[in-house]
Amino acid sequence: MTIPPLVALEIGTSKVTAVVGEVKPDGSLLITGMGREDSKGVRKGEIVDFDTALACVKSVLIRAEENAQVEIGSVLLAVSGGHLQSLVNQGSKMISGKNAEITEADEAEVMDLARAMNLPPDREVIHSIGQHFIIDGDRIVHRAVGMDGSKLALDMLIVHGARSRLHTPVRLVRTIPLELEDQVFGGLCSALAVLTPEQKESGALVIDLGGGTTDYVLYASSKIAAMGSLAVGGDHVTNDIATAFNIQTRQAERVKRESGAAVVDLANKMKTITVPADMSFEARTFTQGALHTVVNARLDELFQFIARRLHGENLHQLKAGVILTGGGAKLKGVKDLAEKVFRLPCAVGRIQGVSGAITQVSDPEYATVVGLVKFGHKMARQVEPGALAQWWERTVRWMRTTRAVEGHGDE
Amino acid sequence: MNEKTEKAGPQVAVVGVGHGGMAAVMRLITDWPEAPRVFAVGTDREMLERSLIPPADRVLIGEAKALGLSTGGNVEVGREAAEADRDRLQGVFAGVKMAFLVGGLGGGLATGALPVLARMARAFGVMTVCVVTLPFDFEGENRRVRAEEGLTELQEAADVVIAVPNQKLFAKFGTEMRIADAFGRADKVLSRALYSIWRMISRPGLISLDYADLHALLAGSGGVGAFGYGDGNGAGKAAEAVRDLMANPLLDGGRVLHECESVLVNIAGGPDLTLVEIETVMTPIREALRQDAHLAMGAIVDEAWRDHLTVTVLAAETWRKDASGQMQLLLNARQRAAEESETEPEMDAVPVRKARGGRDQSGQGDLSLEDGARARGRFKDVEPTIVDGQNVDIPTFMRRNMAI
Repeated sequence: MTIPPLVALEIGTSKVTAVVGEVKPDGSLLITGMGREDSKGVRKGEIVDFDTALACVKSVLIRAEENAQVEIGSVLLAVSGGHLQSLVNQGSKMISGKNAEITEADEAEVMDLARAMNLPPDREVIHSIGQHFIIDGDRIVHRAVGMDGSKLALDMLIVHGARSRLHTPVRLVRTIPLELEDQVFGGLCSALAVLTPEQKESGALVIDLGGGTTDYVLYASSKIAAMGSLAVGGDHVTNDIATAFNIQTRQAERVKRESGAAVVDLANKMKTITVPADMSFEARTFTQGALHTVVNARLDELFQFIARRLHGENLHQLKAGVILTGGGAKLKGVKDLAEKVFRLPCAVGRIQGVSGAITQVSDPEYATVVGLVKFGHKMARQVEPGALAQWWERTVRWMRTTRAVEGHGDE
Repeated sequence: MNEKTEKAGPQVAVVGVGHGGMAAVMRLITDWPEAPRVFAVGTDREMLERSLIPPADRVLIGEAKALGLSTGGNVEVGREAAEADRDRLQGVFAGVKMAFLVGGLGGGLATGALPVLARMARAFGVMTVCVVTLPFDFEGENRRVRAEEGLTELQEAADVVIAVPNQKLFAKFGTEMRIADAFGRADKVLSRALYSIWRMISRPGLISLDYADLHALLAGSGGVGAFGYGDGNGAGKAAEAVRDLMANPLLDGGRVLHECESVLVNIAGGPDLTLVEIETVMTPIREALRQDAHLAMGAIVDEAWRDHLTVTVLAAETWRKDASGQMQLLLNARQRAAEESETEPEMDAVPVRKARGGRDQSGQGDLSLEDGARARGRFKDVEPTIVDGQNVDIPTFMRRNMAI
């Protein structure tokens, strides 16, 4: 039996990446190839020039096909963007009879109720992930079947986004034409890529610092407690540098990569940086201290926005601390800054549980796309054969999604 | 148009185009059960299926290009969708004398397809009134430019265009409002505008107004009108309604009345409506108007308005670009220079040139518009990122007033 390869596609603001993964006979995941190009036509995680982005994606997929020696027929797609929001919705029902036993059907009905959200018509749900069941308002359990109770409730984390924004990349993939297997929140993929089951259990905040957006996912007791996205990313840092020192954007990008830091390097504060004259721009000289101050202001603010959004989530209880991924995680001092703002230990994420000859996949920049392959792998493993009624299929799909992102289970 | 339209027969059709249009017409049928027949036109199959519009009145267009999904803000996809499925759209106008076309300008489908629909309707001899919203500032420069271009095209295509600038609603609803709520409120205002205009011209009242009045009012204005309303309850309902009207940001605190050349006023009240109340409403309006302004007035009596009074005003005012965006205040010369440098070496890159081309056309002779676009630097093509009420595309060190 040949299993078709899993292909993960990320149309990011700074790069477009496709990663091909294969499931080995022992069930583990092997990365067999990838394609990557600098992104065009994308701003803040959203496609602003369809045709240019389409050409770019096509070319990346061809590279990935050549690299992995496979033919790509379908892809998993990572999505991000400031329009994505999450909320917790509760569904509940009374269990018939006094202190009756809770059945599979009760669980399934409560899942359906918790998922039924009245969102404005221009919003679309991309994930609904179960958090826990609550019996009689106070007992919190992961599975309720077989227990006694008179009222069963379920907290469901619902991630939703603007339909028009979600549809543009879908349309792009179908125009190629390719099948789309699933659309998955990029931040969730990054968390899946870097977190161990132990970290999910003890609680961790994963922050993916992308080019156009910053995604965050909060795990507590192996469950996702909150997630979201801000349309602020590395491009903002670059733009701030270009504005502060009156230099071109590409020069600012280079200065950021070569000399940038998220905290001021006091020892080398007065060291100067020189940007040569270019086009109509004069040569510029400024101190490293000034550069670091500009970068620090932006990232300090970004982390504070996230901390404020997660206010009330008991951040101090996250034993595994903050894990940074994305291109921005490679910036000097960013770990120290995150520790200062969140008052938690902080580390740069290392991709877990995949192997492959391609060394690049261990780079935090690829956490999203590698995590997406992992997501597809976990979902695929749980497919049960046989036709299912539509209602049941939705329930099964929901349970699969929930389990795919949970901490327990084999890695 | 008398008895038949009064019963909301097939002579009047309301067509919601795209997400915004559909949201507004759904609001129309939920809030106003006696509203005329409503159609929904879209490229997004699921959205149509989920709408409350009866299946026979849903028109899915542009499957070939949009693949049953949203246009994603692409005006060309919207336009082609309507052009490609003219046959399906014709059904909407069968047996119709007057059509209201509703949509949110700036979106892909409404901006691209509304002019096509308006031209079709006119070709069938159907009188067309377009009721459209113009985007909120936070929806970004690109959307605003698209809306402006769409409005210009629509003015030529439709008999009458009534534009409701969403941004002005903020002033009425307060800036603390959440974005999702803001859109909901905008839908409500749009559906209300639709209903009151429809009712104004289709139901005989105490003092009747008809389509001819509406057309005469707006014909000389380039076909663009402003809309405003005010509500009052209880004993002092007339005075309250007119105060509410004058304070309505859609009329710029009465400025629209001062400047417009002609105005149409409709008063809706219950059987308890008195002539004194009509006078209470009309006197301040008359005083606010220019001496040479043309005024047409109508009043209707409806049981539903007992103890309640609503004043609706349509004013002929050429729509002006609102160039007073806050972004410009924060414009910094250094930032402008940095931005210029970015676009020049990239002139060969398609996305930049395309975006510039579009903006240059509409921004001709309007320097402030161009500057406003530059203020957001490389983020001009997308919605500004608003966090806690501030535009965070502007460098943090500038907003924190740090000396670098």
